[in-house]
Amino acid sequence: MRGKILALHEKLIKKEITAEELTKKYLDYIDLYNPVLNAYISITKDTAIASARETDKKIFANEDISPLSGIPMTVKDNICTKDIVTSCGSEMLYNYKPIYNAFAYDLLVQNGAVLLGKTNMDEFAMGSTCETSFYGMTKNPYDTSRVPGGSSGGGSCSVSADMAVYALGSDTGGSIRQPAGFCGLMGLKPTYGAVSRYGLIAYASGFDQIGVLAKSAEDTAIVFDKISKRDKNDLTCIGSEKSASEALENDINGIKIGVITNLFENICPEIKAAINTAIKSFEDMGAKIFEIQISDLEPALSAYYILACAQASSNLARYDGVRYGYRTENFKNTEELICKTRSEAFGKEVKRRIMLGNYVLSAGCYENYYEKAELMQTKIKSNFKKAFETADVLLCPTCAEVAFKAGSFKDNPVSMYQTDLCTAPVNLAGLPAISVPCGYSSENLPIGMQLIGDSFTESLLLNLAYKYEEENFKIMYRKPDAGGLCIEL
Amino acid sequence: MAKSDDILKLARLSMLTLSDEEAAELSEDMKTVISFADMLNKGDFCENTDISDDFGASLREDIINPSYERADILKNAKTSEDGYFRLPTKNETGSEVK
Repeated sequence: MRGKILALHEKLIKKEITAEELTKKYLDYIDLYNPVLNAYISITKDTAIASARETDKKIFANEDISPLSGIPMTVKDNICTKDIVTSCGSEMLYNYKPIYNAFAYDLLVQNGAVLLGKTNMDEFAMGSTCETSFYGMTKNPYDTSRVPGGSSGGGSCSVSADMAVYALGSDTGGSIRQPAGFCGLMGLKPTYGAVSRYGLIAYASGFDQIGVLAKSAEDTAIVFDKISKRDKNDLTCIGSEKSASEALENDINGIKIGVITNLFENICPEIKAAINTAIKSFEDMGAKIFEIQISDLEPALSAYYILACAQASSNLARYDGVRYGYRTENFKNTEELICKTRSEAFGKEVKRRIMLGNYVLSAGCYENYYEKAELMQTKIKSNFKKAFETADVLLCPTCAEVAFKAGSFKDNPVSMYQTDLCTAPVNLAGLPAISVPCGYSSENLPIGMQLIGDSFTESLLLNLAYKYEEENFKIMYRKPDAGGLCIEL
Repeated sequence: MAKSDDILKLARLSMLTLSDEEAAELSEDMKTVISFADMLNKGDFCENTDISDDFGASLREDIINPSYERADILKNAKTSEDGYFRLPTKNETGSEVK
């Protein structure tokens, strides 16, 4: 039993520690380390303690509680939490308090989850470094001169630095998997349609998915099982019928793993070496390994940005200063109210993507960009479908590099887009994928490998991650250097 | 997409106001970003590919359910009046008019 959730659950029901004591320990560590790491935008101390006390009442009344009850967690700040500011890392929503909980978060609330706070993110989830947030950059707990990845950088940092047991994030082009890879965590992006998007503030509605960041496959599976339910308020969501937790210990002998060799070109040699060692580990466990190529990944990456930005330009049109959020003081008419509100409150990257989105949708460009991108999306889905005729799972790096130095892409946003080559095509195809920590670089920076499954095969992905963890646990979860951040319980 | 007029038209479509400096910077950015988008043309496109995402309809019964209370919906509005969002207007001198 390597997961923290069940270990803490056992301590709670045996009354070795109360939920309130547990929550206060995590809040103390947040007070200590968050000023350095800036993982949190808001810390919900009163809410957390109130939830913890509810769990304690049930335990002392000898009621059964969910394994998630009393367990401290965090939520990315683009996931609606009722009456708690949900800012999307933007000045535009600096004071926005949703009037409802996101469905996925609400399922956890119903199971007694303790919300420690809302985590930092790239503004409106547009970024891969967590540097574009209006609330400042989050730092990588393994090296504070580097980024934690993005856009779920705050959530990733919070779990990695033991300021939370698990986190909800969102993934549109890699925003859970890449920060998981950079911070040494499991990061699961479910199949599009497995988890409700109701209450997830939209970036690109055709790709957005809520997922899980945690320090073990078991914790990831427990949370995924709870949040992957059909929701009548999201007609793109059918939930997931299979229990990932129940499948964790399945034998993986004979599982066919296709290694995507064309994603190993131009990657950091240490990443290649770590993943090759991981492949050998799977082979020793009886998996059948073979090489495979997925074609059209680079044009697929362009297609992703075209489609995502087009969707974003529509989704972000709602921010006009009228019904909620920031409003400019400096306007003479309605058009100025709207334009100046948006210009003052959106950051540069958001403006760039909105403009790209409007460009590819505009007359004269639509056929050459948007329509072609849709054809490429169909093509990449077909390419992956073909790969799954011979493979049960595909394997590749999560990212070609380890965590970037802060400021690496300041003057070159396209270079940042290109780092999504391993992750964004998966979103285009709507497939599930998980980043699994598989080693550290010579500079003690985490390395992640990505397992990609066919639709609704999260239980297989987590099964493989669990089995890999059983054999390789010692190399997977090193304490971050930034201040000895580990809660001993 | 190179001329500043094009950038200003695009800004208008995006409901953004750009300073001259921002327009110049974004103009350069957009050239690079559009070149990146042009990489799409390296792809091997296929049409008429039979890829369906039919995992079963996720429909609900067509029953009226309670929605949110008007007062709650208006909670985040900077200005509201008589149960409506109130959009302030200003005259040419910048003073608010009712």
